[in-house]
Amino acid sequence: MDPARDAALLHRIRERDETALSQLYDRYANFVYSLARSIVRDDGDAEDVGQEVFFRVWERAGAFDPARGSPAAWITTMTRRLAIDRTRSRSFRARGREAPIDAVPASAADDGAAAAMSAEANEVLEALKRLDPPYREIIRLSYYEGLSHSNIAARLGTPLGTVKSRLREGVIQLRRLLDIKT
Amino acid sequence: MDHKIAYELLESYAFGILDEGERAAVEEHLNTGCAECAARLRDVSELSVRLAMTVPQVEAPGRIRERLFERIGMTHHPARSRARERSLTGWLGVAWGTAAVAVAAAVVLMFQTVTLKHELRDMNKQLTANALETQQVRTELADYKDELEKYKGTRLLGEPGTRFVSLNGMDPNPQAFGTVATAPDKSMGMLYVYRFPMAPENKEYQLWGLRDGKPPISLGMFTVDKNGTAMLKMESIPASEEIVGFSVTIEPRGGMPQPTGMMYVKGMDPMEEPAGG
Repeated sequence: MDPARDAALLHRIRERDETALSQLYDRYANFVYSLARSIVRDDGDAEDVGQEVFFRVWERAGAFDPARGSPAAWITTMTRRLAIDRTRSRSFRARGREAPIDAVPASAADDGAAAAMSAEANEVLEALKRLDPPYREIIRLSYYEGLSHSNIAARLGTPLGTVKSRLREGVIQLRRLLDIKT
Repeated sequence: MDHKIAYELLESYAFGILDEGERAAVEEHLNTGCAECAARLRDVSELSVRLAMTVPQVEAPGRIRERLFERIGMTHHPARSRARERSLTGWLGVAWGTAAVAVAAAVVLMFQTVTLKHELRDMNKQLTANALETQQVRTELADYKDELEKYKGTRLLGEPGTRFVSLNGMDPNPQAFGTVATAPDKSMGMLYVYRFPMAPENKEYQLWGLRDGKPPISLGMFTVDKNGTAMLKMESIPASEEIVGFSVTIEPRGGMPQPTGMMYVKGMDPMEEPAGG
């Protein structure tokens, strides 16, 4: 991911340059589709989310604010939000898939699948492993399972305030382990 | 939204788990230009990108691109945009003429806004108190539901059509064994394990649903009692129709998004196992 190049593409998209959208699509299509699919767990729903993400990029490229993060971060947040919202919709629940499920990464124990994992992904998994258990649990439930604060509180039997503070602290710890500078 | 509240919700905002109301309130605060929140959001969002990289990458179907550009073709009308720009330029002259009136109206509105803000603050306090009370009731209700579900789980074993998968001990502890019972539609299930060693203090056992050609799915965490036995109720089984077997690994407490530790038991559903597999 190249923030400068992506930002330039977004600039051109804002000017209604379809070629730039096509290039951005090529760079992010698999990432967006895989992320959406890991949350909605359905190929058709993931396609819908993927299409909606890029349509919003086209329509709202002007809303991208580099002060709030890179283009990759903007696209990631949008993808997660659309996918999680879909799992919370009435029609999704009516199909008996109420729980937004964890985004299960390829298993290190799964033959062949681990080979596809990037070194960066493995680094993140190692950091998760070293996280204090209550924080690892809260990251797993919020990020990989996409649960809301109240659902996490009900699941763990802990007060809402504890859920929020643990998530905050978990993110701080994880960033420290990954050596992400503040 | 108050800066402190918005600041504390930024992780959840970046992870996409806020509800619509909270999300809009955080965005409203960000739109005030709060530099501290923007910087914090930038940090947390970058972490979210890195976490997203741990998701297995699959190729996006070509249909997405086709549908996207078809949709853009239908909505993209540059000519119409230019017409709108011209129209806006024309309105500028009129806008200057009405500016003085607008300033006067703004002063009146400002006083009204102050009054309304006070009322809103009082209402917010009341809402917070109500939310705390609701949360307590929810937690109690969740406890009762847990008890009820455990009872329902034990009933599952006697229902016709319930499927059983035997789990056999693996290398670290071959004498361990277990059973997974699933409802006929696999919507819920129970795990029973026996002769497991006590997990170290910083570890827990994690149950996985195995899928054909796909990564396993986490189905829950558990610890064993002093006899080495445990029971785990699965309220819903994600991607249940894809599950062909189960395994249990030992993982850091809190669980991992994928198996990383030693496997203790494993079993395949004979009804799902591919012929010759």
